[in-house]
Order: sequence, then structure tokens, then C-alpha cells
Amino acid sequence: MSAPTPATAFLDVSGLLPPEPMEQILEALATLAPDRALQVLIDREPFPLYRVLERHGYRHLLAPRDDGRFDLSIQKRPCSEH
Amino acid sequence: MQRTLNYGAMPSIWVPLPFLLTAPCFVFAAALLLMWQGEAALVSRWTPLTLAMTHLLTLGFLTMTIVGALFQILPVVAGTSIALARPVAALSWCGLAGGTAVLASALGFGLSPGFHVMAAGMLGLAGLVVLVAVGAAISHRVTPAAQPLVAGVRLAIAGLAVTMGLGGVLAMVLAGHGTLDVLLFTDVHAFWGLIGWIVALTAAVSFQVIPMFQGTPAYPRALEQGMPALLFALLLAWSAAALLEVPGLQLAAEIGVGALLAKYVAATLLFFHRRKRKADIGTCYWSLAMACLALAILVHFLPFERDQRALLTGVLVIAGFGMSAVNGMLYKIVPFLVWYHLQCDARLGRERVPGVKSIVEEARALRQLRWHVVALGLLLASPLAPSILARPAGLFMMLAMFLLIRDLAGALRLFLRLRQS
Repeated sequence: MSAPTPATAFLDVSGLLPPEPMEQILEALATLAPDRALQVLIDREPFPLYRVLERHGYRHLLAPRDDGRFDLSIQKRPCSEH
Repeated sequence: MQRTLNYGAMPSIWVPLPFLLTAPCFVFAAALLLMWQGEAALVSRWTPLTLAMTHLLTLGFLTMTIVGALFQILPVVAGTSIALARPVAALSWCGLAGGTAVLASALGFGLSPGFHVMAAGMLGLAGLVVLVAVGAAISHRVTPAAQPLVAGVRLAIAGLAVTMGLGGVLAMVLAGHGTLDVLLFTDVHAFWGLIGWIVALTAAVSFQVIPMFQGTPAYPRALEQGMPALLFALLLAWSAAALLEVPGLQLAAEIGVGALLAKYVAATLLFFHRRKRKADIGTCYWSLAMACLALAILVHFLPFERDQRALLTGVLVIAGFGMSAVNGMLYKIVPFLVWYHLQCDARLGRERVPGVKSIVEEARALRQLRWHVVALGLLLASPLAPSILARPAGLFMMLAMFLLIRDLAGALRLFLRLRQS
């Protein structure tokens, strides 16, 4: 995954116990400007989060890291995709 | 970079919730029996009431919650789901709840043979549905991290199949169809049920959920992958030795099972001891469960009278290990389910969804844990002075379950209120 751009907010939830990573991600998304992306560093693939993102109109990209953690990038879907 | 994801994997809240909310009611029923009959329910493992209570706890509480939790854990941890979850859940819940109630009544009150057959039919149907549905779900490709869980679930449901097969045969014999050595087959049925199903499945799930929720390191790969298979092989060897009357091999298999479970307990307690975080309530429930399993292993090899030893081991495994672990998991799973499904509801503003920790506050779980410890202590001491301690044990068990039911029902009420508003 490419390095965060100025339009990307970064959130590190590695080391937190579930469901705190999910709570923090949803809190960060609530205050995120629609044109910005959120890039998250997370320990495990957050399967339950995907449906919440889908329901609230976000798309995401997931990339595994060499250290076993994951980079998760989340962005509001353009209106044309809704 | 994008992985193929199954957004529909998480089932509706109404799939696991009926299992998780009705399970404590069966413990409540067992506690009522204990309060009503007192020492008669704990004088031996063979009394009708003891058999009824055992099945209320193992089928009605432990199996009920394990099956309900599987509907939830497989999608969350492994990213695979049970197909046709709603009808499968409805059918298996009806068979399990109805079958347990009929079986406990038939055993406890000596109902006519037809009720044993009816119970065997209902539980057999539920078991078959669960085996096929879970078997199909775990036959799909899962993430590498979830492979040990899936392997453990596969062997544990094989253990469930053996337990239910033997239980069905025993029910038919009790109903007057055919003859066999009931005591021997009951021992084999109980060993598979307790170790091959309840302990094996709880351990397989704990390999995933303890590192995840208690923040410990991952279990050693050799233990995580090797324990379920080795346990299964030892159970097969033990059963063959018991049926063919080879006491030396039977004892060797028991020592093997004991050593394996002791290794699992030691690894878990060592993780908790070395952890830098403050122990949360979930860790307390798991620590209690592990201490009881360790004690059960010890008691099994002590020179007690055989029937008393089996009774005490059963109490330690069922009420000590199984119920402590499951009570703790219920306090994790149910608030998460409520919070998660409220989050999924796009009609609700995020600000209206309470934090997951405030859905059932930790102080409530701590209160339940305290009553559960008192009930467990009385239950374990009851065989020593049944006429004095059996009824108080039943009373405290009932109080502990009342708290659990109240807390879980409170979470459900909150969910319904927010969804309807």
C-alpha cells in the first residue's frame, strides 16, 4: 500500500483488544471529512467491520504486512456507487 | 490487493441470540431440581436426578451456547459462515431445547420409555443438522490464521457425533430396545461428551479467543494444532481399551489425556501470569475454568471411591471448567452482538449507539462471577456433606444464573428499545 497522502488520516489500533479497534475506527470515520481516506494499522483482519462499512457507504482495501499485521484503507464511496 | 469478502457472513442477531439467551434457563432448571431434592441429587452419579441435572447442564447450557456461539465465531474469526443460518438455527434450537427438556424429564422423573425415544429423536435431529451445517461451513477455504480453529472444530464435532450416537443407543436401551452393558457404555458416552466435545471445542475456541480478547501471545503452534488431534486419538484408544477390557492401555490413555490437558492449562495460566495488562473479568472467568480443569485432572488420579471420584470430576469439568468459560464468553459475546447489530443499522445515528462496554458493565459480570464461585464451591463440597450443602449449592447456582439472565436480557431490551425508537 502506498504511503499516506495529505488527504489520508492515519490510525494505529494494533495492540488493542477487540472490539476496541472497531470502536476507534468507527469513531475516526465519524469525524473524517468525506473527501479524506482513513488508513488503519490493525493486528487482525476485521471481518465484522466490513458489513458496517458496507452499510454506511464506505469501501475498503486490505493489504497484509510482512509482520503479520494489516494495512486497512477506508474511504467513502462516491455517490455514483451507492 | 482487495480480498474477496463475504459481507453476508455475519448472521442476523436472531440466529445466535436464542441459543445464548435460553441456555441459562436450563441451569436455572437444574438448580431448581437441586434445591427441591437436595442431597438425593448429589448422592451418586447414577441417581435419576443427577442424570437429569447433568444433561440440563451439558446439553441445555454448554452445548446450547457452544452451538449458538459457532454461528457467530466462524464468520468473525474464520470469515466462513453457516449456510441457511436462520432455518438451520431454528431447527437445531428446537431439537436441542425440546430434546433436552424431554430427556431431563424422562431421566429425572422416570417417564415412560416412549419419552426416551422421543428425546433421542429430537436430539438426533438437532445433532444431525448441526453436524451437516457446521461441517459444510468449515469445508470452505478459511484464512490461514483460522485453520487451527477449524481443525479443532472438525474433531470436536466428530466427538459430538460419537457422544450423540452412544447417547442415542443408551436411550433406546433404557426404552427397552436391546441390551448392552449400560454402565460401561455410559462411561464411554460421558468421556466423549466431556472431553471429546465440551473440553475439545472449548479449547479449540480458546486458542483463538484468549489471545484475541485477553491480549496474550498466540498459543504455541504445536499445542494449537496438535492437541485436538492427539486428544481425539487418545479418546479412541481409551474407548477401545474400555470396550475390549485392556486396563493397562485404558490407564495409559487417561494419563495421556491428563498430561495433554495439564499442558494446555499450564500454557494458559502462564500467559495470564506473564501478561502486563490488568486482569479483566474475562481473564478471571478463564482462570477459574483452567483451575477447575487442573483440579479435575488431579481428582481423577486420586484414590477416591470410584463413584465419588467420577461425580467430583464431572462437577469440576461441567460446572467448573465449562460453565465458567461459557459464562465469561456470554458476557463478551452478547454485548458485542448488540453493539455490532446496532452499528450495522444505518437508520440509527452513531451517537445513539452506546459503547460496547456500557451495554453490560463489568461490575455486573464481576457480581455474577462472585455468585458463581460461591455456587461452585458449595457444589464441590456437597458430596462431603450432601444433606447440609446440596440445597444451598442449588440456591446459589440459581442466584448466579438469575444475574446472568438479567444482564443478558437487559442487553436485549436495550437493543429492542434502540431499534424501535
